Amino acid sequence: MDRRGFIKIATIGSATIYQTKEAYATEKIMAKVQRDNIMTYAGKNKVPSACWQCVSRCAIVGYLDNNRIVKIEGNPKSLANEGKICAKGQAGINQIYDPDRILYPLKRIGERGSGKWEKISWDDALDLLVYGGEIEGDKVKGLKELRDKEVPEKFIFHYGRMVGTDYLINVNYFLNAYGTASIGDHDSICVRAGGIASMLTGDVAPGNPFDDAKLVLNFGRGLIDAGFDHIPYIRRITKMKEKGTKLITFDVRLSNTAATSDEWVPVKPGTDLAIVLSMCHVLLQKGLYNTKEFEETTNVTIKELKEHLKTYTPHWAEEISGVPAEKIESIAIAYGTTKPAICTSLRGAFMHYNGVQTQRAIYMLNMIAGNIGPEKRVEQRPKWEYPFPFPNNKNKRLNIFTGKKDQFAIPDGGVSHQILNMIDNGQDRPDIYMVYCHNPVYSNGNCKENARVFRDNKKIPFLVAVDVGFSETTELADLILPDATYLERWTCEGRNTPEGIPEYYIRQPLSKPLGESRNFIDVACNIADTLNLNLGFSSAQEFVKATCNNTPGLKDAGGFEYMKKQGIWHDHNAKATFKNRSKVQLKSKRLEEKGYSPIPAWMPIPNHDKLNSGELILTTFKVNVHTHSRTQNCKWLTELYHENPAWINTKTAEIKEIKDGDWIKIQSEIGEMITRAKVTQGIHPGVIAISNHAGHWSFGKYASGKESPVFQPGPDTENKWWKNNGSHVNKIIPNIGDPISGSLCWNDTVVKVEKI
Amino acid sequence: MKLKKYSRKSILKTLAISAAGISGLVLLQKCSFFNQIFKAKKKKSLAMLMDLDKCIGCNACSVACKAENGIALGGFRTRVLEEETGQYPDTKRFFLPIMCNHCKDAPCIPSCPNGAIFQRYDGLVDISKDKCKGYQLCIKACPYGAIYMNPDLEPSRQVANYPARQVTKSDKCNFCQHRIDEGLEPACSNTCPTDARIFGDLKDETSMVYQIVKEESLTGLLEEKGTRPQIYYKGGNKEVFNVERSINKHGE
Repeated sequence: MDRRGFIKIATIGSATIYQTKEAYATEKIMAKVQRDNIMTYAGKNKVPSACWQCVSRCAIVGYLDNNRIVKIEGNPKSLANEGKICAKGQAGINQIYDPDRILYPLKRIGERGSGKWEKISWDDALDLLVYGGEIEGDKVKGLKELRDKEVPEKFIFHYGRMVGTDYLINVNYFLNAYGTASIGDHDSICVRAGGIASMLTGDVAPGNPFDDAKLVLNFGRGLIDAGFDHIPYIRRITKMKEKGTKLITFDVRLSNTAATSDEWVPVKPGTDLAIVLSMCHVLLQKGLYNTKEFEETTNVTIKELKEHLKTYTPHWAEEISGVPAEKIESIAIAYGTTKPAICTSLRGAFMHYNGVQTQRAIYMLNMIAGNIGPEKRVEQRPKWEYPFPFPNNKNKRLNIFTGKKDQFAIPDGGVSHQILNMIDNGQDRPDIYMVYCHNPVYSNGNCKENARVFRDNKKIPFLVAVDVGFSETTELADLILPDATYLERWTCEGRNTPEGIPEYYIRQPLSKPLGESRNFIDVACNIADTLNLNLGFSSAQEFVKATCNNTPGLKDAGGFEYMKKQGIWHDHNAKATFKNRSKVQLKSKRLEEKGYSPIPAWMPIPNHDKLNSGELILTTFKVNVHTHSRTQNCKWLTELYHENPAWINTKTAEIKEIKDGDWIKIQSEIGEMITRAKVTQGIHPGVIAISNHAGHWSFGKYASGKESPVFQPGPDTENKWWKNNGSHVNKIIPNIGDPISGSLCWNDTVVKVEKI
Repeated sequence: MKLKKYSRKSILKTLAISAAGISGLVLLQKCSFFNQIFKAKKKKSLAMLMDLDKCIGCNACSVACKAENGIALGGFRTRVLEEETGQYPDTKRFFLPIMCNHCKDAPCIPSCPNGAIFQRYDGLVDISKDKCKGYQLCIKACPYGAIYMNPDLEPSRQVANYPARQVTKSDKCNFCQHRIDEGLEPACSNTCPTDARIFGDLKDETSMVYQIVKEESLTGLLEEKGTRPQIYYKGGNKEVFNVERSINKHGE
C-alpha cells in the first residue's frame, strides 16, 4: 500500500481539517505549471494518452515539465479526432489540479451529509470495506461477510462513466469473481430509449458512411454542441458542408447544431414522431421507395405500411407538431430523392414518453427511402485480445434494477434512475452501495428524493463513494475512496472512426496520482487479492501491458512499448467492409405482446395536448463547454458557462411580461426553481429550455461557490468573479420513465412560468 | 467583473515623473534594440484568418489559450462572441472569434508611457512584462478590448500571504510567441476542431493566409479606426456584432 507520511491532522471542534505540505495544494502546482509553460516546448516530455472529459474519449498528447502536466492537445496520429480536442479536453488540467479534489480516504464522523470527515489510511479504509466495522456507532457489514454468507448480490456497484478496460476489469473480472450482478449504470438517464429501439428493430446500422451523405436530417442530436464523438463528427460535417451537403435540424431550440445547419425546423417537444410518420406517409404517397428492396430487407410489406400510415398526412402532423405541412412534404421529398442521404437522431428525439417509437419511426423512414440500403457496414470494432480468462460465474442480482413489476414494458438492460425508488419501497435492499464516478443525487430527476434515500442508513447501511470530486452524492457517503483522475490511470481504449476504421489506443498516466488518490482498478485488484479471488493480474498497468503485448497486429508492431510511445495503433489494412443486412423488424412482436403498436404509430404525450393557458413544456440540453455534471469545477469551463438561464421565446416572454435577464420562477408538479430568463427568437414559443450543467450545491468552489471540506486555496481561487452558480433543473423534473424502455422523460415536464 | 483601477492622481503623478522621458521612450522603442536584434531575420507579416463559415462557437480556442498562457480567471486573450438575428422561426446565430489584432498601427504601443509594448520584426505586438508598470493606459487605447490585467499566478512572485495580493500586469494575445518561435502554431488554431482559424505569414505568397486574404480582399474588425488590424474575417456575418472593446467585456 502506497503510504505517505507527511499528513498532519488537526482536529478543531468536531470537524477535521488538513494541513498538508505544499505538494498537495493542487492549484499551486498548476500555477507553477502555467509559469513554466510559457518558456519552451523543446525538450518537454510528450506522453500520448486518452481524454475522458466526455464519453467520446479523444486521443490526446500531454506535455510534461518536471512531472507536472503543462498542456493537453489532441493526438495528431488519431484518424478520428485528427489532433483536435474541444474546450473540455483543453481544460483537463483543471480536473487533476482541482482545488476541491479529494486526495485521501475519508470516513464520515457525524450524521450523513453533515460535512464532517476524518482522514483515514488506505489500510483502514479497505479494512472497513472488506471486513466491515463501525461508523458512528452503527455496525456495517463488509464485502467478505456478504460473500461468506452467500449474499454477495447485496453489494451494489453503481457506475456513471466507465469505459474501456476500466469497465472490463471492474465488471467482467472483479465483480464477476466477487459474485454480484447487482450492477447499475446510468443509461436510462442517457440514451437507453434509443438503444431499446435499435434492439427491437435489429439490423439498422447505416450502409453509407456518414460523410458521403448529400443530405442529413437531424432529429434532436447535438452533433456540433456535445453529441457522442462530437469532435470526429464536427470535422466530417465541416468537410461535408464544404462539398455542399445540406444539413436540416429539427429541434425545439436553436442549438449551435441547428444554427450551423442549413435549416432549423422548430418542433413542439415530443412531436418528432408525428413528423417522421408523416414523412413516411409522403414517401409512400409519392412512390419514393423500392418495393423489392424494402420488402426483402424488412418484415413488412408496402401494402401493409400504406394502410398503417394512411392517416398520418402532413396536415395531421402540422396540427400536432406545429411544423407546416408543406415543409414536412418538401423535406420528405428531398429526403426520398437525394442519394445518398441519412437521417440521424439522439436524445432530443427519443428521451420522451414516446421515444422508443420515435426512434423506430426514424429507422422506418431510412428503410422506406432506401437510405441505409440492403447492405450494412460491418462494424470492425477494435478487438483487444485479453490474455486473462474471464471468471465464468452465474451471479445473482437484487431485484431493483428494472423498476417495479410491469412498470415498464421492455426495461432490458436496466432502469438505473429507479434504483433508489426501488430500495426506498421494496424488499430487496443492499448492505453495501458503492457509487463509482457517478452522481445520482444530481443526475437523476427529483434530486431531493434521491438525497433522502441516500441519507437513510436503514435503507442503505453502508454507502461508499469512489470519486475525484466532492459531489452531491459523495458528500452523503460513509466512506470516500479517492480515485485517480483520467490523467493518472491506465486503460486500453478503442473506438471506430466515423468511416469505420478501428482505432486502438491507450490511456496512460501523465502524472502519478496526486496525494494518496489511487486508480480504483488497482484498488479492486487489491480487494480481489485480499478475498483470494485470483483475477490473474494485480494492477491496471499490468493488464494494459499484457493486453497490448497479446493483441494480434499490435504485438508485432511492438506491443506495450510501441503504445507507450505512440499511444495509438491502426491496422493499415483495415477498411470498412459491407455485407447483406438481416431483416429489419419494423413490426415488433415484443411490442405487440406488450400491447403497443408493432409498427411505429403515434403516441401522444400525456398532458401535452391539454396544456392550460400559460403552461410551457420544459426541455433540457447540453452546452459545448461542459459534460453533464462532471466538469463544473473546471474553472476555465465554468468561467465560460456558470449560470443556466432559461431560454424563452420573445413572444411568450412578452405575454408573461418577462424581459431578458429577469428572474423567473418555474414550477412543475414536484417543485420550483428560480433562474434568469434568456429571451430569444431561437426557441419554440411553447417551450422553456434549461441546461443541466449549472446549479451544483456542492462539488467545489468553482461549481457551487461552496468550498469542499478538503478545499485547498490556490493563487486563482480568489479570482473567481461570478457570483451566480445557476440553479439545477433536475430538481423539478419528476424521476419517471417512458412506458416502454423506462428511460427518463427529460423533455416532457409541464411547467408554469412567472416573473418574480 | 471589475478591473482594479489606478486612481487618476497616481497616474498623473507617474506621468509627471516620466513626462520628460516619454517622447524619448517612444522614439527609443520605435528604433529599439528589438528591431536591431531582429534586423537580420527575414521580415514577416503574421496574421490570422478567421473563417466564420466554419466557426461553430465551441470555445476550444478560448480554453486552449487560457491553458497555454496561464491566464487567471477574469481575463481573456481570445473569446468567441455570439449574436442572434432574425425573427422566429427564421432565426440565425453567428459566431465571431476575437483576439488582439496585432495592428500595423497599434494604438496601444504609443499609449504606454514606459515603452513596454512593442512590435516585433514579424509584426506581432507584445508586452514586455518587465517594463509594464500596470498603468493601464493601453487598456484604454485599444478599441478591441484586447488588453486586460492578468494577476501573476506564480506564488513565488507574489507579495507575502497570497492570495491577499497578486502582482498584476497588462496582458494580451502574443500569437503564442513561445510556440511560433519553435515552429508550432498558436494554441488556438492548433486545437480548432473545424480549422476555422488559419495562422500564417502574409509575406509568404504560398501560405494559405496570403492566398485567401489577398484573393478575397478580406478585412478585419473596426477598420475605420485606422489601426490596420491583422486578424482577417471570411464569410459569416461580422457586421451584426458590436466588437468595440468586446474581448474583455464580459461578466455579470
